[in-house]
Amino acid sequence: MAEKDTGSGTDQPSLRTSAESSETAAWDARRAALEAKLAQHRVRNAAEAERESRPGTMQGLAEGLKLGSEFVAGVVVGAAIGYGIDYFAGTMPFGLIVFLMIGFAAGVRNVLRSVSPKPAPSANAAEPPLKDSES
Amino acid sequence: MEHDPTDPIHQFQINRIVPIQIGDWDFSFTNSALFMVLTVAVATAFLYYTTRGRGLVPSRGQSITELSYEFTANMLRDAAGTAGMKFFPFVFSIFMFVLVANLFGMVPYFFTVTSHLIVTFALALLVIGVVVGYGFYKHGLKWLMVFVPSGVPGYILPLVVAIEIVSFLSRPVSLSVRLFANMLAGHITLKVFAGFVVSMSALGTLGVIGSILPLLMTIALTALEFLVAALQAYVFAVLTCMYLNDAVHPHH
Repeated sequence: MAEKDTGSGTDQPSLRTSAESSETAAWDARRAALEAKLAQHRVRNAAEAERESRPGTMQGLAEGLKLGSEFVAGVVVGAAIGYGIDYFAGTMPFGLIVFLMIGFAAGVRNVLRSVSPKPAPSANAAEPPLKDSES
Repeated sequence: MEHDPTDPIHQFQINRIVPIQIGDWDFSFTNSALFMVLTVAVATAFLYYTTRGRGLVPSRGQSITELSYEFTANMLRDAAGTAGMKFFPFVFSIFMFVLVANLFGMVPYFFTVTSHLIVTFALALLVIGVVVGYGFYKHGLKWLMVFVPSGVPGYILPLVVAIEIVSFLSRPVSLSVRLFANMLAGHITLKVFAGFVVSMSALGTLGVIGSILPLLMTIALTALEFLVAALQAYVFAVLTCMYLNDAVHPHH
């Protein structure tokens, strides 16, 4: 980018003699060549950035562990609540059965919530959600 | 040293430094407590001394502090809107505490505070306590509408509300277990591979040559652990922001 700026800086004076105009033509040619080279670079950089942004195996693993913990937490909390109700009400298997299923549903809800795209916060709804804020 | 130097679990042991006994409870000042105090002290001292110059053109330390400030502020504003910005000191404190504690764990012979479930669970309970407390304080009983999603037919509403409540209660569990499990698993893996280097080197020349492989693995894992330390602090802070959003805007 810096090379391009110095290139465009040379044709600042608006008065052009014939000698200067042939010189600017030469500069124009050089600038066009540079522009082409830069464009090539940009394509390569874009491809590189695209490749970098693709989730690698480690990011996939982190994402999987995150979703797994969301799901397991739902089931565990459901089971704990069910067991607690059974313990105090003396309805031994039934509270556990019912709340284990509710916990399962809550785990699925957790996973769905964390993978679904987030709506913009209501206070500044005009702003679109810029990026997925969760890794 | 009386213990096996390659024991991967030994690093998580709690030792009493100053035994304090009040009634039946053990209030001893342990190595875990020491590192929590150190974490707070280092984070506070770093933030204070780097911003003391108040340069218009920030020095290196000052730009680190400013970057972490703006990073947290943007994160909170994205998740909870401008109304959530009153929680900035809370989120920033949690983020800095977890980040510094995780990074402290990467220093050899240091204790990793966040590798104990009780510490991360206490942090998560604090977050959920603030969410519930502020929700009731600000919206009164209407805050309970957060458990009632809009557009659900009446006959399955009790089931959906039960699922939403269990889902809400599972948040502190998943929040704390994720941070704890990442730190624990990472440090154990690191220690196991480093232990291979020690025990293989004891087998003579062939062992020393062979121990290059686990050594390379240890180096790679160390880099990965630094990433995990920062990433988990970020995830903890982001989820804190998202839960605070429920306290600030309960109608979704």
